[in-house]
Amino acid sequence: MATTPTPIRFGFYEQACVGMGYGSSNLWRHPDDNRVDSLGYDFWVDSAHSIEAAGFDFVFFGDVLAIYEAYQGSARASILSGVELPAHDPFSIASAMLAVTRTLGVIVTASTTYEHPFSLARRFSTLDHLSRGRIGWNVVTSYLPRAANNFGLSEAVPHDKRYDRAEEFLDVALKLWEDSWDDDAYVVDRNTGLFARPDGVRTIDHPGPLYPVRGPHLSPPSPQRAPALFQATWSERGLQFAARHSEVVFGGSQSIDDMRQGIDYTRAAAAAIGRDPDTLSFAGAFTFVTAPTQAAVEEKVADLQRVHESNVDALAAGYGDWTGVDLAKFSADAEVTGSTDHTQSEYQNKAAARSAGQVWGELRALGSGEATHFVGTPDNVVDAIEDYALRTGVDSLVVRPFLFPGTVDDFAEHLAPRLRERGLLAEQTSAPLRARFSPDGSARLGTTLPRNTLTTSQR
Amino acid sequence: MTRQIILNAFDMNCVTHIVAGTWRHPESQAVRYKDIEYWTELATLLERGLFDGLFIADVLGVYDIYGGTPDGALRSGAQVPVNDPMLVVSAMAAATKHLGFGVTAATSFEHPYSFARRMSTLDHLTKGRVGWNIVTGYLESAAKNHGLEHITPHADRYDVADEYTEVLYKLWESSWEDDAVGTEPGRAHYADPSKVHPINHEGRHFRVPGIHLCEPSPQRTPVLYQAGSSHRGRQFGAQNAEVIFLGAKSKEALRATVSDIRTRASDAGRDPYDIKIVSGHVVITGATEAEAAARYEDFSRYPDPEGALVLQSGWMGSDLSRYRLDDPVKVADNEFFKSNVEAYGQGDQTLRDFVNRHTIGAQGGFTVGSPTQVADELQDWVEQTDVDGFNLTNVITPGTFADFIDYVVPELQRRGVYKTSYTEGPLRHKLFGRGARLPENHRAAGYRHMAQETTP
Repeated sequence: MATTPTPIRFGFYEQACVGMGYGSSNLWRHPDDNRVDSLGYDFWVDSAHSIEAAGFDFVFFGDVLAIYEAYQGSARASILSGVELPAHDPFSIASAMLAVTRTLGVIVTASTTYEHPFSLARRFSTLDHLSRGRIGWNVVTSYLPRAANNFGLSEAVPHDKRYDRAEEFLDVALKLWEDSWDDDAYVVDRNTGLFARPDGVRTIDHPGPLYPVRGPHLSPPSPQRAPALFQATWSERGLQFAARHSEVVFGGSQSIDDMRQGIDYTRAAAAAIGRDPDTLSFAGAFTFVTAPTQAAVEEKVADLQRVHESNVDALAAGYGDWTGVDLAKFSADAEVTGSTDHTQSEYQNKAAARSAGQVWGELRALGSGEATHFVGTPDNVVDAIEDYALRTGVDSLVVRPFLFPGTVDDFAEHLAPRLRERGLLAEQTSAPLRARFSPDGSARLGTTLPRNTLTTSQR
Repeated sequence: MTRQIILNAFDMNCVTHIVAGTWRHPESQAVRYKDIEYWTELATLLERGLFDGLFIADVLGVYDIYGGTPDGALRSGAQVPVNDPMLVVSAMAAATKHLGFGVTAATSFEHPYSFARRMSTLDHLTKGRVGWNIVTGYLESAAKNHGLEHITPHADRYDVADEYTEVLYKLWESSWEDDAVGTEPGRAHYADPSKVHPINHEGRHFRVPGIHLCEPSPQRTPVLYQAGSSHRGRQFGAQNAEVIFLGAKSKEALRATVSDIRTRASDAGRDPYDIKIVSGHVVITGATEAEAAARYEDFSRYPDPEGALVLQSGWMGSDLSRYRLDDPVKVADNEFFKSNVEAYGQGDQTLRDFVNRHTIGAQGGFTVGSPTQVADELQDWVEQTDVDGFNLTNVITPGTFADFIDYVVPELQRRGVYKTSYTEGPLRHKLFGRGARLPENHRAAGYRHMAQETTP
């Protein structure tokens, strides 16, 4: 365990919606919040500027591909309250944010269940070129059953099967990014007219079974080739997958013990398959409320709390689709149960062994009873951040905003200067995103991840 | 008012779009296609010239018909590598106020549910300045990249496109009522569930029960562009397209095609002029006739014959490496790019024609001249063929567009056939002057109230 402070890379959580998830669905109603303006590009261009100026290293875009409707068996509550709605496409927004910044990395969530690897690989290569290496991919397998329905499947692919699909999906994408073009194949010589060397560009001829793809990749080698590979997960199967395929594992708002255990588990799983465990980086998440004095903190909490609990159906609607538990079905003293095919780790953290009354109580509280809800004066909050980072070993922390732009402003004004003083704020850089997380500072994947090797004839 | 000419710039997220070899010209910026600045500078330039739109072509495979390998395409950079067209749009939109953006996407390779969301997002971000160029995909190599053994036959691709657009219209036009999302700042609720409807689509190719994930964007349905000019393609265009791109071998051929499309539109219950028709054109110009001729001479040193034949082989669906220079090129009907075979593959052109004549003036009108000569010629095309405007193919980028804007635009404006300022409002309103939404006589309007009626 580290004893001297290591600089932390701070990320900012975003979602292309008005009502944010993770239990703060009502805060768009706060008079100081401007998320209702988030449909046009000017909101995102301004956000990108202010997030970068505040000292953040990256923006992490969550995404969903269906409306939330587990609660009360209907979409009514989520539509009424804008729970993770609208759900716009993060790619186009990422492109605008990358265009107006120089250091900000952007991690985009994309599903291996509902995209095709050929076109998704090209989309990421395009953004990697445009941003000069500042793009990352949060590999998700998608958890909402209705998303499956919207893509012509009668039911969601079971949790473990989704990871099997993801294995092949990633295999195909990596072949396209890493194996299809030699670095020196892209010649572009105006004098000879030789654009690219055909003997340096190969088809991948991936045989399937789910994704037979011929190739070659349509985009030449970009600064990172494969985007920095993030994975938001904390389930056992997810961490096994991460041990094999991810570079940055985003564990969310775990307690110190759970984060520590998950990190140990994942590093051990990596070592077991011959991967250097140090090539894995871990990210946590936190929420915070801060102000210069304790009295001002309390006032701010009360103000947020009032809006936060103004509509409990919205809170339950968000909860319903993360955990698969429909709170409307349970009386206060009954233990809640639900489908574990949603987000298993969320179910474990927020539903398992709880009565409905306990869940309601946690949901109503600002911060939703999360272990990483840090409230206090700036020094208190920075202490909590430092303690958390030291005791868990996370390399980066993602801020989940309550108010926009209030949370960004508070970070810039109250936290960033103190974090910098204590050597806890990693310096911003225009280096490629991967280089900021990899132990050797490399922009390329290289031999970090174990991979299915191509046969000689395909090489 | 005199009929106004519509202008689109034609480009692609790659180095060689239509004219092979000119990326080597010292002025060409084509190799910067991977930089966002290339695109934002291009958009700013086009907006200075009051262009209606930038149209970005796309393919999802390589041109590997010529010689049976992708080697020629790679050597010449012929539409490979090719990055995603959609991701350059939002940055360009942030750098401009009025320019429209036509993005090409095939109905064959992406699920309509996620595609609908991608376009709605762009329509929101651009405040209603986005268009979709509907293509069915003509490269077999693209089909093979998406798990298919062979390309889907031409007619079947259009059947899929019919249903694909039906799903999109339901999501875009009917899922959210206009007033589903409230507007009062301090309101308690974001949206009214009784005004948001699942589309319950059950079809042959797609089953989509859900609601659209995006609230209504300025245009709802993006402006619909289309380029297929085969018979099946024209039928689809007559029912769906608002702007149609045509290649033009001659004024006579173009006049017949334009007239046929307008008749079909009328048969589909639309006004024949509900469709703006723009034809591909290469313009090489300068301050004087002599300067324009010198510019053409200069450009003529760069074309890459192999690259030209690679592209033509892809468009013909036939390997042109099998022909000798003076052989007539007669191509059997096939399932790839039917209209191109109809126009250019009937045996009245030799391979030499393709190498010489078509490397710069590849697919459409071709004019070299002073500003007045170019303006005369463009006006003549409009009068003779009844097209509404032009899709300017670049010989070098952005030089072709810069020349046009510096020399020809002022001349067209002087003649009163080209706008001197943009109309305010979304792209559809700029083009048709009657609001942001599709008119009631469009096929999409038929789906408008469908979801509302089936929701209890």
